[in-house]
Amino acid sequence: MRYEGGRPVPEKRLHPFSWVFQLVGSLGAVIPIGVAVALGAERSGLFWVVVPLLLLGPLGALWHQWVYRYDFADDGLVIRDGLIFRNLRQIDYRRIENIDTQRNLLHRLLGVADVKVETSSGGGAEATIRVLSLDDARTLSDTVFARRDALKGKTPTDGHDAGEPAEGTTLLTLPPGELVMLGLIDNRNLLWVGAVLGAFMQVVNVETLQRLLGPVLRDAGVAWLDQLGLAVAVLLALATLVAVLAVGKILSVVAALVKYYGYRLDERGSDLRVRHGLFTRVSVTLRVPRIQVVHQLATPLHRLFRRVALQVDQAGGGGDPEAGQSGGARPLAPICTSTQAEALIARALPGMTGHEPEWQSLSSRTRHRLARLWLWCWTALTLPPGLWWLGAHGLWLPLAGVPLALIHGHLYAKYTRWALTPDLLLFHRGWLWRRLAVVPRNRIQAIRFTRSPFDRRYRMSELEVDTAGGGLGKRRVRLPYLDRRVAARLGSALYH
Amino acid sequence: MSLESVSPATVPVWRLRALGTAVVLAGAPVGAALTLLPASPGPLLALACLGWTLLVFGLAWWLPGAWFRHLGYRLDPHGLVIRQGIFWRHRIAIPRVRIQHSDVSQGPLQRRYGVGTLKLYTAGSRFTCNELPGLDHDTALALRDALLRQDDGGDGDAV
Repeated sequence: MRYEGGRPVPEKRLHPFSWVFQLVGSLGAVIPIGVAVALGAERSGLFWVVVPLLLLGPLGALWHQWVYRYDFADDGLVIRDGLIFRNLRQIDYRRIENIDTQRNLLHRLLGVADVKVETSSGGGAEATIRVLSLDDARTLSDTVFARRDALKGKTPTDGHDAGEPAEGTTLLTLPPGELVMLGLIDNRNLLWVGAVLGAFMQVVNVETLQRLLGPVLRDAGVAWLDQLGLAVAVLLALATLVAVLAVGKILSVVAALVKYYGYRLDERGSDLRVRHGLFTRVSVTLRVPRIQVVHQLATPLHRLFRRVALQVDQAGGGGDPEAGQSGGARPLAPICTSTQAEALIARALPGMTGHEPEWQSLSSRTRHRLARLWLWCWTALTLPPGLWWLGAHGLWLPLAGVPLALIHGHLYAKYTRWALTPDLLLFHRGWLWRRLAVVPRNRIQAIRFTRSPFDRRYRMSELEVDTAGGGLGKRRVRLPYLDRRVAARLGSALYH
Repeated sequence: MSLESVSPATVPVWRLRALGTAVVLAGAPVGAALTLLPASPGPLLALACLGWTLLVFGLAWWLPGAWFRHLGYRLDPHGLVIRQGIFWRHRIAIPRVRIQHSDVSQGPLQRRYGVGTLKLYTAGSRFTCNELPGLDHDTALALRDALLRQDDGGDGDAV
């Protein structure tokens, strides 16, 4: 690190293969267009005009590699990008929360890694250094954390030792058996298979299928499809459905095995480190002091296998948009048993889980209210088509919804509960999809009561707590259907 | 547990603003209906136009007053509580130690009537910016100072 006229001049360079990854990373989307343009141009004899345009990408990547510099200043990481339009970025060591590395197959072949420097400000990585050799990446992370600890006046005992980092204790590993289970539980691929099949059927319609498969089927002695009986047709449809399910499940098992291969959760000082992946090695650091909420999810399939999933919301950090996560949500354990989950929650929120929670139920009027709500919705949905198709008999349809509404109201009220311990607010919600949110009371940023007209009618209140991480969509911590007085008491307990 | 109400001077500000919106909301469809449809409008159309205009202007007159009646706040040693909403009533409690920074803003219309909006920012994710509109400008400044004082008791991070 040298200084020119008081300004830091970073000197460390990227790995010589950097341009490959820069090209793949930033221009990946443009390459197919480029190829298409080149093909079109060749046909019209303009090929040699287009070639220089195509070279712009690699040249830009080489340029980036040539001018990109980083270095360690006294108080922060310095990154310089660009030569003509210079951008000098200084990231204070004390603000750096994570340094993650990410490697896909190409990275591993070449022995390099993408390095992401994250600070507590939200919205993704503060800087992505693409790419460094493994040694340089380790030096970077060790140096940054050593200097951060030195600046904070701490002795570097919490795992970021400048020398050989101390190995932490392993909290969770996922053997292939668990990953197969994870794949079987995951339903996201099913949607894909359905969509692909639907699109396929749109393009290749039944007539085409008949034309293509007809001779084969005839040769095999199978009569034509419309000559088959209704029972056989139903059977075929069912077989297709089962096949789609099976293919979807197999795909998601494979996806789980590839994505979470060798899953390891280690505890090092005040950090939790997650490493996994067969082709793309992912390494994520979760800073325990910044964990805001721990979520535990149990779908019906989870319960069939006696497993749960754990997620944490972290302050800042952009989450992993590729995994469909928004905000600061990160998986702590994609799958584990409930005993493991308890131990992991205790590790994620140290010193807070000592007290046995005293579970409190919702307002006694919840069953009634939910059953009525469901009945109204059911009626609104079924009555118009019922009257249309069945005439006066359609009037019976709303009655058919009564048992379902009663059962839902009863089960929701039975399984939804909350508890307040000296350190935590716990909220368990739902009976089919069960979600447990564990919120440390000292992380709560604001408390909001809502009283809708319906709440007022049933003398209820809804209480929502806001934390610095995530808290969007399903991960909002919102306690509905509380007795008005109970909500007021709980709110003032959280506020004081 | 009583809450203080904001300055009544804010009601005309909101009314003027609402009337502006009402002119657009009522004027555009009524104008379109009268110009595009046949030159001699039927009684039904005229009635619909009249009804819509009355409804929009009525709401523009009534809503600000109702909103004012339901808006309240309380400053206590722990922080600030804001209550608002006519049908869906919200009451948000912001602990003093969680406030990251605060703004007092004043638009041209607000300046004319001497009112301002206090904005409190937390490090949260959903309720990051909490507004308390319609305060007397001096009250807003005093509230802000009262909230920012004794702020160094926390752990410095507020996260």
